[in-house]
Order: sequence, then C-alpha cells, then structure tokens
Amino acid sequence: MYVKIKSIALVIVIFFSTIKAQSVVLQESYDNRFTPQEIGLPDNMPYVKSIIWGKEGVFRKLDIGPDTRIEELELRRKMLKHHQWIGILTLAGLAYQYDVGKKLYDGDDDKYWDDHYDTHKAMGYFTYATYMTGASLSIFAPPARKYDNNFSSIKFHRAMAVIHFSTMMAQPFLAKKAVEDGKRYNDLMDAHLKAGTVAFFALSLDALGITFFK
Amino acid sequence: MRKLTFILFFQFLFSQAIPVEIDSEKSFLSYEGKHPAHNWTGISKDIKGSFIFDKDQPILSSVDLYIPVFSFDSGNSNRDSNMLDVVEDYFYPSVSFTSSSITKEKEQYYINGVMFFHGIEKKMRIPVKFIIENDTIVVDTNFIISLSDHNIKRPSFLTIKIKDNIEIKLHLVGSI
Repeated sequence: MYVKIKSIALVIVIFFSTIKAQSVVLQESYDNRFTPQEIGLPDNMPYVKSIIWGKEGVFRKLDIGPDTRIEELELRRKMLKHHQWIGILTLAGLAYQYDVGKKLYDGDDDKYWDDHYDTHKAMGYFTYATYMTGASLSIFAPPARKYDNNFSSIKFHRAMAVIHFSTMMAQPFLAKKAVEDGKRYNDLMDAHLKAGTVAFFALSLDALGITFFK
Repeated sequence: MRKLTFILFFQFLFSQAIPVEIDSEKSFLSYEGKHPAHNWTGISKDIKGSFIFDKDQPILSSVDLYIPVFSFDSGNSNRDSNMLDVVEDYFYPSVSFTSSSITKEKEQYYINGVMFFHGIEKKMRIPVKFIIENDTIVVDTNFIISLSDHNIKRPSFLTIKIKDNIEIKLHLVGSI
C-alpha cells in the first residue's frame, strides 16, 4: 500500500514537473506582451516638429490639439491623407501653370496672352493656396511614432520639400514685383519662370520618389 | 503501476526537450508588404519568448514566441509609423505564436498553433524546416497571413490598397 502511494506520488511529481518544464514563458512576461502600452513622443523628432509638438512645443503650451497621443495619431493620419490628395491637385495645377506660363513668357502672340493671362493669374492663386494648405497639413500634423536617419523616400520627400516650398513661396512675390517694377520686369519675370519651373519639377520628382522609392 | 512509473521516470530522465537560447543577432522575422507602386520588407530581430526543442522527437517540441510590433524596421520610419497606426500597437503591442502540437507528414514538419495579432486569434498550420549542426539549430519557415483575417484595415496609397496577403519569413538560430 505504502509503495503504491509513493508510486502515485512519484507519477504526479513527474507529470507536473514535465508540465512545468513545458510552461516555457514566465507569467509576468506572458502578461506584458499583451498589455496596452503608454506611448509617448518619438525620439529624433525633426526640429520643426519639436518646436510645434515637442514636450515644450507651442501647441502644448497653447493647449491646442487632442487630449491623448492616440487621438493625435488619428488626427495625423487624417491630415496626411488630405496632404496626399491636395499634393496631387497642386501638381496638376502646377503642370498647367508651367505650360501656360512658359508660353506666355516665350510667345509674342497677343491673343494667347489675352486668352490665358487671367486664367494663369487665377490659377497662380489657386495653386499657391492648395500648396500652402497641403504643406501646412504636413508641417502641423502631430508627430509620427518613429523617426530615423535612414535615407528613404520620406527623407527624399523632406529634402525636395525644402526646394519646392522655397520656390513656391517666392512665386507670387516675383510676379507681383515684376508687374509693379517696370524697369526690372524682364529680370523678375525670368526669375518667376525659373522658380516656377524648379517648383514644378521638384514637386514632380518628389511625387515620383514618394510613390516608387522604398 | 510500477511499469507506468518506470516508463514515465525514464521518459522524464532521458527526455531531450531542452530550451533553445535564441540568437537575437542572427534570428529575424520579416514581413513583405506589397503595393502596385512598390514592395517593402520590415524586419524585427526582437524575437522573444521560448522554444523548447526535443532532439530525439521533434514533434514533442514547443514554441511560444512573440515580437513587439514596434520593433519592425522597414528602413523608412514614416512607413513604420503608418504600420504601427494600422495595427494599433498601442492596444495590441505584440504579435505572438503559441504552438499546440507539431506533426510530421512526408518528411515535412508542421507546427500547429495559434497566432495572436491585432487582438484576433487565428489557428495556423505552419510548415517548418530545421537543421541541427553541433549545438546550433536553425529553423526556417515562410507562410502567409491575411490582414483582413486579423481585422486590419489595409492602408492605401493613391486610392490603391496594399495587398491583403503578407508574406512572413522566420529565420531562427539558437543554441541547444
């Protein structure tokens, strides 16, 4: 009887030892893997982003923006989706502007000038407005989860943005100055055309990069 | 009763089931995302959990692995951030796989188990290959997961959504 009890006890011990040996993950570790985590601000935030959305950023001080980081990320996603569509609209507008603007600059056809000048001017305001709206949606969007220093399509996008942003900023001022300053009309119009050309090709290259590069 | 005791005792004594120490430098899990404009690969070397391997009877082995979603790196932080948004890692920080059994069919091993991803549990049968050299085991597997199966809203670019099927590749190196 005693031997039998010992044997049963031994079987139970061995059985549970085996089970225990198979319980390969500590309970604490097992729980942690599924526990939702508090997410903070990312490391390596770009300078402009940290001025706006950093811990001591302008929006934090003015209490602008959502209450939680998760809501910030949802807002970011919406803003960048609109940024994408407005960017495509702007590119289409700039393609038209580049074509018409070049013909207005090069041509001696008064009829073409009469037919297209006002449209070019109106489209100028339109593309400027859409470009700046699209840029604002990106600049003011809450920070992403991650930032790194790898060269990727997003790095290329940011580099190209410096070029097309600065040339787009200059565009209306160059045109306005050219109209106001008759003596420097040719030089300023020349600069207006060059800035427009750079803006259009930089934005086109940017769109290709963000679409097809990894 | 004595016979059973001896069988269990000796099985226990000579059991070759030993924990595998995962080499985090050489091991990785990758996913391949596809969009008509471009494909990309995200890699994580942060494989956690445990792997118990039975040298004599591999079908008695078991795995319980998990990977923090945040650890995946595709070389483009913007894309990684978008991925973290769609898989909502702030609610579901890890993707895990726990085996329930291992079977062998025509020289091919299969791990049966449950994948937990984006709050959805999905039963899976994954084909695996393994090689043992001295005290090192190398496990390789490729399989497909469906984003819609895990209730993940596929992100889109220029109105085109990424492909629903994501190819997963695991290369696990460990010492036994």
